[in-house]
Amino acid sequence: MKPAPFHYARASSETEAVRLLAARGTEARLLAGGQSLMPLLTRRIERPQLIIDINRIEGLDRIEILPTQVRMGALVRQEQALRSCIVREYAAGVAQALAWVANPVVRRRGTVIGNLVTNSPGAELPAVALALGAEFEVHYPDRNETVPAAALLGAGRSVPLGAMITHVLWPRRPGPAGFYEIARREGHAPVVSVMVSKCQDDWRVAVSGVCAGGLACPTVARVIARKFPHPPELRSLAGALQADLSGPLYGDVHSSARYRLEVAPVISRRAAQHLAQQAASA
Amino acid sequence: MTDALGMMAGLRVTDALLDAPLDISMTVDGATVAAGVRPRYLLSDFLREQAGVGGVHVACGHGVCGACTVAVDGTPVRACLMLAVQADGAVVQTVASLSELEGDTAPGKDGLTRLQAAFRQHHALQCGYCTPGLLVSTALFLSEHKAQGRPCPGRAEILDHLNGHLCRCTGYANIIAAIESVLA
Amino acid sequence: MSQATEKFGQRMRRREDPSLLTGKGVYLADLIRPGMAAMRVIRSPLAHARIKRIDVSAIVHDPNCLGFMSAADLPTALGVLPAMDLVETSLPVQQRVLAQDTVRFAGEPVAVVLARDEYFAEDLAERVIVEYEPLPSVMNVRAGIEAHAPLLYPEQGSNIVHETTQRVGDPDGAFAAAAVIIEETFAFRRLMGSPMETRGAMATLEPDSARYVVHSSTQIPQVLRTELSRITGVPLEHLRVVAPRIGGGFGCKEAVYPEEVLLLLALQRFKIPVYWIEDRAESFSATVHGREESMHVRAALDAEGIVTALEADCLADIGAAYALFTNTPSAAVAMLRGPYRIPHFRSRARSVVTNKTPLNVYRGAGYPQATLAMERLMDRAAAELGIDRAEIRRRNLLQPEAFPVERGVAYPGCGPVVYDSGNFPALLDSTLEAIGYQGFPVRRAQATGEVSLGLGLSFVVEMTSGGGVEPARLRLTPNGRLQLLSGITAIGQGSETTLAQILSDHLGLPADMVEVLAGDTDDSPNAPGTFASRGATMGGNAACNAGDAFILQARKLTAELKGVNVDDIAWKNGLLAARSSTAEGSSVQELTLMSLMLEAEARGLNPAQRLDVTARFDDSGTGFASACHAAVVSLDRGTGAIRVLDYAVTHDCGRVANPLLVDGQIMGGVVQGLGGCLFEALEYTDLGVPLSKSYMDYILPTAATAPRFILRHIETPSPLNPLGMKGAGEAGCSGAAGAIVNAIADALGNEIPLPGGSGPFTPALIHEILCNASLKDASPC
Repeated sequence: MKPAPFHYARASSETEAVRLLAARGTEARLLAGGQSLMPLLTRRIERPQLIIDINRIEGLDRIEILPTQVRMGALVRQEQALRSCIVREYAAGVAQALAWVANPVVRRRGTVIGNLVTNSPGAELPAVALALGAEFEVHYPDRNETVPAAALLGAGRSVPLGAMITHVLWPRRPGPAGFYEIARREGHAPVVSVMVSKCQDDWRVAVSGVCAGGLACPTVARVIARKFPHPPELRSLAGALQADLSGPLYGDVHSSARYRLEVAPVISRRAAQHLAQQAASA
Repeated sequence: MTDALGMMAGLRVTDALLDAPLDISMTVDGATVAAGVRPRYLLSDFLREQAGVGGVHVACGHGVCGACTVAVDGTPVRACLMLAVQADGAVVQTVASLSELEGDTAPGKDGLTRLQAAFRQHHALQCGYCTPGLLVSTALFLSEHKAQGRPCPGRAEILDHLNGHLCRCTGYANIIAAIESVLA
Repeated sequence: MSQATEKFGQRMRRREDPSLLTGKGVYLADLIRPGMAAMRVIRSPLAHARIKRIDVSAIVHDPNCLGFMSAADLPTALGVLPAMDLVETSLPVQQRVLAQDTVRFAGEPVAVVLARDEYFAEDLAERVIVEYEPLPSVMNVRAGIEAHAPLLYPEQGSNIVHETTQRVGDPDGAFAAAAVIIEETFAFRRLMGSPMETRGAMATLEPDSARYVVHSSTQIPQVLRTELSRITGVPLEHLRVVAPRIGGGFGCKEAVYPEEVLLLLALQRFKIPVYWIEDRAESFSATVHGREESMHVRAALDAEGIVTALEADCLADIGAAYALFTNTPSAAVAMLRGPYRIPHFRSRARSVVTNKTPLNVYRGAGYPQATLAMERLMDRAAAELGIDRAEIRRRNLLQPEAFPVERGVAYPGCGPVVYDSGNFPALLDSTLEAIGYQGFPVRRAQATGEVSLGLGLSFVVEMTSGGGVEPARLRLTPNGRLQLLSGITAIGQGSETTLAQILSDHLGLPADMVEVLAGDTDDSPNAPGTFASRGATMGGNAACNAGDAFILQARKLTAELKGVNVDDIAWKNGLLAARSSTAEGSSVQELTLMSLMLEAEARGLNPAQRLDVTARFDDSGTGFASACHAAVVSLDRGTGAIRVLDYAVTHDCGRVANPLLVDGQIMGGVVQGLGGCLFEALEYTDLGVPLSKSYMDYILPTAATAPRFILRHIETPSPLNPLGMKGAGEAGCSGAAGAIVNAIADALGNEIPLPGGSGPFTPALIHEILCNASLKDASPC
């Protein structure tokens, strides 16, 4: 379990990172926290020719509060975001989801954006990004663009070649959020997770693990909103989820697609209950 | 078009070129260790082979078990998930530096730190393979809590911390007891 | 270290710990030196295939390639890997060192490549082209025994390779007269021990003596030496094997592996010292698996709930070849009756080869399966007859007056099963009290929301301490300490502490006078090794015998020095007391061992040779440890998640040398067993491709999943050895599945049937069970 050979370059700026990426295309990978990429390298599942280490680029580790958004750079670590007062206040759904990601040591190195772009089936954060309507700042060699998360994380989409995602923008949403998750074992990779976020009358629900990618679930959100602060009936949650499905159902040898679909309403209900608790104690 | 490394774009370079060594230097448990290393050389291997540290154990090699945990510039890191070149210029501490990581200056009795003595007292190790990484990680966990004014993490927080460590021998109860005993 | 004598029975802290805690423990990987070549094994990716061609042209001229071997390069007279506990009718399906024409499991070694380091070795291995022609694979026992099943070994004519049967009394008569018959088929899943330290070994040449030295992370260094000699033809006197400290065994390192042989062959052929460290991905198919079998069981009961007869038919999925120990399926059925009288019994255990990794003993051997099956039947019988679950067990337990109990069965590796001592009713009473059995209905009723609670019981009786005669060597070191060279290797169980404690207590010596070494075939006596919970009992008794022999020699030597009769020399409090009588009266002169040595040396009496004794403990029978387990679990009816909340064990391993360490073994074993019924299972595709390749697939328990423990001990000394001890390493693991699965069944309620077997009872499986059973309710199934 040693990586295949590669070149290593330490980028000192975003510009340099992007230039290196553009020159090498599919043969290059960006290395941030390494918690997702390194196991792929050691198991030789990924064999890039060039690793571009972005860990020493200045200024990418900031969490900023903007007029309508919370902006996180590519080196913002998961634990850092989890503990950030800005995130807890203005992007509570993100903080709630992060508390369930892996364990403290992994979160100290793993980055928020790294987790998002890895987009593992069932991962918590990509679903949250879709549901909240997050955006990515993408740095190409010749231009910068801001794109909705769905453009990169949706079904069949992927991160563009030769470009670097430098920031994620979370819509600024003061208000409580609830989160719940079921895994095969506590602390292990999630099977199904649900986030519910309330910002005044705007409700968002993210469901991961039912389809391969994360789902934004507006119908589920409406059902929860209608009954708040009481938890909705499982039957109505199940029906709402059906309406929000997009793309083929996901299952694996351990947790079938049927299980995921049937347990998701239970998880949604608990996330709604968690949100009610958060709202009550605020 | 050539890229920053002077290679023709699209030309597949031979493995030998890809493995060309880079000179790095880091401090490991207070000693400077310098070597020319291949880019793909893992930090876990560097610490064991170049720095001669026996207390970094590779158990899973894919970042799940925590046995290889070391401190890099004061942060707990799974050494098997880091390239040696990434730690160029860093201060690395392993279980050999445990008393500094615990924030104690005086060596304990029998040359064991408070945490090590607690592990021994509570029989919190059997084969010992997961132990050094667990000690480093726990020392950082506890001193960080102290630094943030939360010197007594509760059981839920301790269990969250221990989610990052696998032990196949002890059944964990004694590890939890050992950690709780140093908080008392 | 303390000057006080370490007493048998005290909760001594371990002498191993200071070194392990400071990262100074020496494991196999710590012995690798610069200049050694790294070996990488090329393994079959397919479950069953013919090897058509191996093409090394891409690596043969690579300067990084230091050697390559496939089956064609191995000596023709090379032996096959060993298998113990076979019976006369067993078919010869031992594993070859390298696959020759056919690969029979994914992960089977096909070739090896040597390089300057592991990185290069992996690069080179990838560039070797092996062409395979896939063959139909057999991936479960049902498929393996079908009339036209593909045969793994066509020349053997069958995939059923090994069979043992047992019969006691008249089971047919008992079944005919039964008031109730309960039957069930249990599917025990494929698991593995997965110690934190993977396997590893190295082969070097001792410069002066031209001896080969093989270091290996092994539980059985002497067996390894004997077998390496047999397989390769290297004479024993040219071979030394050393087992350093190992990072967990659990049976995974209790086999003789191809890699160990290949390293020795590579050293012989390429004349370079060579090592191999197993990586974790490899380990999931390269290291032996455990447990997998299908067991059909029938129990006959009378109206009072007395089990009059038991019948079991087991098909074990042993993988593609025998591993070292073949008796797991036999043990699983032979020990099925556990602590219960059950006068009539019949069993058959058949081993079936399939295209998977070979199956070896894994902590508990067959007892986890036996316990789970028997204890599920007990609970089902209790429900059927309307008898309380504790009461039905109580009615069936063997009574204390019954011991020793001849069970009428025997199995390879154990011999006739005779329970030496025990007090099963006391175990039951103690555990019921510890878990709060009487008060449980109230506790269950208090569970709120979607959570149901369940309580489950299980009983374990298991054979320990077997394995044959155990020697021990004791000698005086130049600085006057006693050095015990034991055949019990350090696998994490604290053997050095326990043995020093036993010997120190036996001889009345201070603790720091005793050192314990093990693992080097040069020094340690020829011993079976560390397995089957035999270390403390066999090693401890052997150490005491060696201690007695040593003291006798010391007294004789002192007598010679003093010119008196040996009867005038006493050993007391660590000193040799020489009584001499003169006209004025008698006086006593005391010598320390150190001063005895110095005086004897000065007189040319060669103390180093004389104060170096080897003694044996002859295994006159195997001690049977027993335990009663109880688990309380919570079951989340919404998600299907199970948590084990409380876990009580009352354990009887005879006299306990160090309760701190025994408790550690029990807890570690329980959590390992917990993993096996909640999280762990090795999965394959239908074609035989392994799906479990990392800890993301094969999930181990963590601290958050461990229960609160209540541990108690009862000591019914074994009459079979002077120390009265029995083994303790496995009973925690053996009882866990029984108690936890019974608790899950209890949480579900009697109306919801539980599939027979070890699950694993993942949230998805529990959810499916609830859905299949539900007729109306609100859950959206």
